[in-house]
Amino acid sequence: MTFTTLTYFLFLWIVFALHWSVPSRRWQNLVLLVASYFFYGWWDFRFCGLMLVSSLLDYSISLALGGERSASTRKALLVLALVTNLGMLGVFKYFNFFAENLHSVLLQLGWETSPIMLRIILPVGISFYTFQTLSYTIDVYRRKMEPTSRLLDYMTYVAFFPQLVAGPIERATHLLPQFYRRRRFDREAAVDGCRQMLWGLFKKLAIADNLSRVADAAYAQPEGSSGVLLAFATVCFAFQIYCDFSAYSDMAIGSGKLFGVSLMRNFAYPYFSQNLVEFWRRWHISLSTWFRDYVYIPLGGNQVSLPRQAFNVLLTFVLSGLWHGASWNFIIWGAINGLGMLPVMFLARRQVLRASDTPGGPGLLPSPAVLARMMVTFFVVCFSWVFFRAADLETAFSILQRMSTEIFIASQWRTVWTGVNVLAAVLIGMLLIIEWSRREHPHPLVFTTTPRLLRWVCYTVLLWSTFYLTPRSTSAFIYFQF
Amino acid sequence: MKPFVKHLVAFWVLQLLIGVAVFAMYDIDRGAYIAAAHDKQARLQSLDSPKLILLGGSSTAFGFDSRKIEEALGIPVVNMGIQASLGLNYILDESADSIAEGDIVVASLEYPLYYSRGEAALTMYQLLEQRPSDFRKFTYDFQTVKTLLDGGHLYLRHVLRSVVAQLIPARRPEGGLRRDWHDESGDVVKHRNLPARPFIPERPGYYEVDASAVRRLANLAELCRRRGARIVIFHPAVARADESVDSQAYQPIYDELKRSTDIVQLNEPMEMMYDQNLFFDSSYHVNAEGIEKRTSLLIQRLKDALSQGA
Repeated sequence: MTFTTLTYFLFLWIVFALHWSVPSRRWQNLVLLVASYFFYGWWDFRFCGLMLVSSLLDYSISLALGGERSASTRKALLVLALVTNLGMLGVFKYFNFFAENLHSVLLQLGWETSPIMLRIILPVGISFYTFQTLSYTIDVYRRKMEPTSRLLDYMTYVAFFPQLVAGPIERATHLLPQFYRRRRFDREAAVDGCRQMLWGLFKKLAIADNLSRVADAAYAQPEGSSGVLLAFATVCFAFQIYCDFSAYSDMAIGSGKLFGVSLMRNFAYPYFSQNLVEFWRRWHISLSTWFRDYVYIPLGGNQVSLPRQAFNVLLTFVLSGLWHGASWNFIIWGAINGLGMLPVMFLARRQVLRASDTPGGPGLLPSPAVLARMMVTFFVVCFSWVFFRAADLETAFSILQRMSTEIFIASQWRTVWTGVNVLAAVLIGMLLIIEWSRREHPHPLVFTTTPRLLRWVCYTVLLWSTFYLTPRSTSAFIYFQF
Repeated sequence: MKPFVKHLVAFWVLQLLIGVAVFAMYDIDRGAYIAAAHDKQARLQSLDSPKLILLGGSSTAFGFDSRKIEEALGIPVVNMGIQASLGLNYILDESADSIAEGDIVVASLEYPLYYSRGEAALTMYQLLEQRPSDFRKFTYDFQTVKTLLDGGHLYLRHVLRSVVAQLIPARRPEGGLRRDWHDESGDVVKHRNLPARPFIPERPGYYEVDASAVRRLANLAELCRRRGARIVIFHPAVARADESVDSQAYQPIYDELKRSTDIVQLNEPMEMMYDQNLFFDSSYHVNAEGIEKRTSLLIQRLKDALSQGA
């Protein structure tokens, strides 16, 4: 069940009504738990079994960890949690990738083998909830939190439907306590949640799905597209993936607010970043902070020598690439981002902005220097997106080569001048203007002093333009595949 | 809570009123491509047996010369193909009531219909607005209800765009295919004289053949047998994408049908991988030259099969 459908709309308000009409915290959690399993089972009921196993496993291991004093037994329990969680992820997501690569290596060595390939479907959201349950167990192991014995609360924390299939990847320290207490209805938060969902709906259906038409067409047949068109398609993909994924997060956070649950911010206007370090503080914040806390810092973080620090950064980003999918493209994508971080980390003199800072500073327009830095950052990000989007490495290199050699051929610019591309350019321009002018708020539809009439006109126009601009065929959220 | 619910309801009532106004202004386009379903059904019911019924999606509508088949076999032909996105159930059920003794049913189903149900909400809504009575022709199981609910906003989008197109005369409705592109047999004919439109050949994915799709076909075969009609499968032509990929995707369908049913298959998928220059605007829509090639093959194989008592 995806957020952009009528089904979700009906489902959400039914669960909303049930959730606020039951008498106690236990019942509220039970409503959310049943609703979450129903939501997940809507894709394929078999997925629910896997999530149940994953939840029970980490629940039991964490309980055992809580009562265990022996360091070696605690370590063994942690290893068990890591092996089972990552093992499950490995089977469903990475088995074929490693089997295929092993087969290629053996073939190079002259050993003819037939690779064992699994014909299994990747359960939606497995990477997200596996990381969520894993972080809980690690936090218990580190004694950052007490294990919970409340199975219902814990299972609701893992399965909470707004963030189940594509995040934000919540930490138990933040989300779990919210299921320990009875939630009170917060009108301001609920209204803001509705606005955020509306903004997400617009970004996904009106912007991302239109941009995907340009990006998909060019990347499906790069040999038939000009270098200029490929460059434009890459920019479109950059905004498509942003609007697609941040829209999901907006709708997840907005849905959460309706139930009195606060989910962490996942995007903070990343394309206004002035360098890659800032970009990664603003892009998929829940994942980048997860890797920071559970991979980069345990590796030594920045408390080690510079070469080791550089290695840590690179390794973290390569793993982050691999998290996205079992392919060399994602690994290269991660490596480019890791390499791009290094000059900023080691050479930059000015303070890097945080996600909570207003991007680009407070002025109406960015200064030429700020604008130049933003554009260079965007260029590097787009360069890495080529690897993320292309079908394979060979195609990615060929696209980069075509773009770099053909971009200066004036006649090629005419190939971009089509109705679909002009619409895409207008939508990107509009998005940038709206986001830049509202960048001090968590999302652009935060209204505080605007009269109600004007607000409602704005919501109505946005809603109906969303329906109007939605392309004939819409695509699933990109991050569902991860 | 109360003020929130009050405002929420007021907001959605406002949107509902706007929606009602939009629908009130909406004129159903009776010349739309999908409206040809009326004409095909009317022809099907008007023909006496024996007759030849072509079943499938748009690849069937675009892909045969029914007159040539009529001349070769000496029986009338009705091309029931409309759109694969109406789903396998609808495609197989639509003609079932009219199958009678002596009829020959040629099922030429797009390959994705063997992997999944293939239903698309927008096409189903568009058919329903043309013929609300077809409401009972869909199978309302979980999957269909889910498809219709999930795609509701796409129909709203279609209605809204049509109304805007009506209000701004300079704007024309989307898409070029129309009801009057068909001839009286149900074949799409207008594209035969039009220049080809560039497209990218579809690369098929790897999926398991859906056992329920095979079962549905077997049920239809059983119905034909009971009524004294014959059914054969004639796999559709597809623009060649990548031989090894195509083979891995399509050949299992042939193998599975051979293994699980006794329906005669007149051809194998891999012999239907045509060059792109035999197509009009997509991987499944053959052009005049492609129609000639595909129809000739059907006639030849069908004659052979009938002579062997299929």
